[in-house]
This record gives sequence, C-alpha cells and structure tokens, in this order.
Amino acid sequence: MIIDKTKCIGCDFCLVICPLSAIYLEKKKAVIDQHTCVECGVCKRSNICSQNAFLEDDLNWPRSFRKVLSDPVTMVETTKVTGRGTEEMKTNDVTNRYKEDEYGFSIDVGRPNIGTSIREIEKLTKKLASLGVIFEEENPITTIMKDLKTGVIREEMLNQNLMSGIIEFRIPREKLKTVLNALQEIEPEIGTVFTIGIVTKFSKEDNNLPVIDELESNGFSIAPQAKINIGLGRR
Amino acid sequence: MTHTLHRQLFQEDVKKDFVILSMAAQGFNNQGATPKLVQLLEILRKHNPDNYGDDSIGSIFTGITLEKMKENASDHSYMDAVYTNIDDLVGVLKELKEADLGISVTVTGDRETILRALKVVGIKPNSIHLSLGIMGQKEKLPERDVLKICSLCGHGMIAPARVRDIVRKISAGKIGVREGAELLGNTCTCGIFNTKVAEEILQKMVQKGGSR
Repeated sequence: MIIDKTKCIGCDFCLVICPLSAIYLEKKKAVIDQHTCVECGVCKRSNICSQNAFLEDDLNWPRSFRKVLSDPVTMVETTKVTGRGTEEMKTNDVTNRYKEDEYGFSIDVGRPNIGTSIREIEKLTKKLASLGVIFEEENPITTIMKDLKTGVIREEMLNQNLMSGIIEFRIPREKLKTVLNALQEIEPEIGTVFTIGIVTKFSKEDNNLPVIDELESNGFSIAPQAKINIGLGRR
Repeated sequence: MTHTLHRQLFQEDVKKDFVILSMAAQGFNNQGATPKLVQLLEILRKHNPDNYGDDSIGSIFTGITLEKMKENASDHSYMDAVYTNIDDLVGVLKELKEADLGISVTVTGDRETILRALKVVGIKPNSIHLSLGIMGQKEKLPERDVLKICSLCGHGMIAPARVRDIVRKISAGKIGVREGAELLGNTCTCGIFNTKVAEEILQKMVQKGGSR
C-alpha cells in the first residue's frame, strides 16, 4: 500500500488505523513504511481517509505473499481459502485432515498483533521438521518450504513480513510431549509471539478429551475457550 | 485460519461470546455450495447475532448488507456470526441441525458450555481445537484491555493505537461507548468482532481512565 502524496492533506487521522503502526508523518504528509507494511489493506478498507489517498500498488512476488497471508479478503490461490489460507480443522468432518490416532497442531506465528518475518517462522519449521512432524500440504506456509524434511523455507521469502502465518502439522499421539518440549526449548529464540493450538478428534463413543489430562500433567494450561467442529459437514 | 481460537477474554466475557464459522471444504463439497451457504447465512442472521458476515467481503459493521452478502456469495464463502448468549446459540444450532445442509460448522467459545449446548440439541461433535495460549516475546503485546479488544478480530485487523484513540474520544465525550465499539468493528471483515463485549471492555477502560 502506498499513499498518494498529492491527495494527502496531512490530517494524521490514519496514523492509528494501521495494526502494525506502519504509517507516519513526514513533511506533513502521511507515509507508509514499506518494510513494516504487510499489505493487509485495513487502511484503505476502513475509509478513514477523506481524500481517498491510499493506493494499492502492483505487488510482485515475493512481496505479494504478504498480502495473500495478511489481507483476510484475499484468497490463497493454491488452497482457494481466504483468511490465512487454510481450512485447518474447520472442515475436518468432511476432509478428515486430522484423524483419531493423531494430534494436529496450528502454530500461528506473529499473532496476536505483533506480526512476523518469515525468517522467524522458519526457525520453528526447522525445529519441527527435525522431530519428523508431517506438515499439512494444503497450507500456504508449507507451500513456501524448499524441503519438508528440513523445514527450510525458500531464501527469497525469508525477509518478507506478515501479519501472521500458520504452521500446520500432524503428529502421532505419542509425540505430544516431545513437540511441546521442543517448542518451549526454541521459544527464547523467536523474535515475536506465537499461539499454539492442538486439534484432536472426538471418539465415536463420547466427548471425553484425554489430551487435556496429558497436557495438564505436563504443565500446560489450556484456555477455557475452544473451537469445536460440530460434525454437520458431509461429502 | 485459527482466527477465533485465541480470543484473550476473561471468564466473564467468555460467557457472552460464541462464534460460528461455516464453510464448504474445497475440493470435497464446495461445488454448488453457494445456495447452501446463503441459506446458512440466513439461519445465522435469524438468531440475533451481534455481528455477522462473509469473510470474503465483509460484515454488517464494515457496511455490507445481508443482500450484498447474498449477491456476492460463492462456493468459497465463509459465513460467520457471533452470539452473546447461550439461548441464541442453542436456537441457531437447532435450526442448523434441522436444515441439514452438509456444510461444516464450528463453534468457538467456552468449551464446557458449547459441549452442553450440543448435547441439548443432540449433535455429536467431530473434533476440537484447544488453545495453549501465547508464547514468545509476550512483552511486545499491547496492554491487557487493548489486547482483549484486538483479539476479537483474529486476523489482527484492529490496531491497538485505534483502540486507545477510541478510548480517548469516548473519555473526551466526542463519541459514545456504543459508537466506539461499532467503529472498532468496521475493520474486522469476518463478522466475528463481538461489539457487545467490546462495548463492555471500552466502558471499563473509560471508567479506569484509559488503557491498562
């Protein structure tokens, strides 16, 4: 995103609209710091500018990847999903992406509200790859990996910034503790925040969640909120 | 997209925050899903949502009308809504079950409350996404009240600076609390920003004299 200086009247109203504080005033005109801007489009969509001075410039690869993952109304072409480009467990009743004998993980890097470079994401993908996790193929972060066995991401992507990017993978249930320990181990090296989500399928018989005991006995606390796929989908 | 899972609310807010997301599975049941998604949106709207929208174009607080959402609906649409009480949630779940559209639906909110509601309605859930919270450089996060409001949009479209600005404007008497909550909702395109909860948090922030 850029600002048309011929239209900007320097009112400064837009300075507060950017989630990553990329807009500043210079010589009485608003300017967008192109390194910080993740192309989320909030500034333009908000209509905060009375002069309609926000302009979407043509984005070339790899900068266009910023918009793909940071602007929720942009569709990821490879997965045909908006938002951050993955259905994760939201359609699990149809896709069976996560099965009964495994756990799914979503690690949302940069979230909430801080943002991330892809280099930070790579620190995590490399660590996770060393544990033999199975990265989800229908996920945009997986598509930029050079090698799923090492978690290495293509060099030209590493300096790109995103609002956040979701690393998504599956593990056999017995690996839960190993993965959580690895995340704790690498935490001090990560230059941003990240959230952890664990997906498990309910058994056919009941709604018991043995994973909760397992997590709590390993010292992890679980938020009272959860997202539940209620099973109304079908092929 | 885990955008409803990590809402940073306290227990009292969680009881007033139930989010429904629905979508077709691409490559599985998306072909010809548009009319079902439109019907689903109409069901969501009937049960007093605080907010609703189609992820791919916008919500009622971004200025998109129901008619516009229906017009623009596609096989890729996400239909979303947020409810502020359990009765409305149970009502919408009952109707979704009866409609039997075959479209995937998730509910985010207090885990035990949702599981009880599903039992009442007679729905056996498929899977659950649990949150282990935030790790990493948490010192970079905005102050607690601001974070609570910002997290109501999981895509991070609510700027912390704007929340503080809105609080200043309410405190100065330039806008009302309700108006402030609705203004904040206008950058969240999905229709999951809970304006009622935001309004209550803003009110408390103003009473405390700003953001903490």
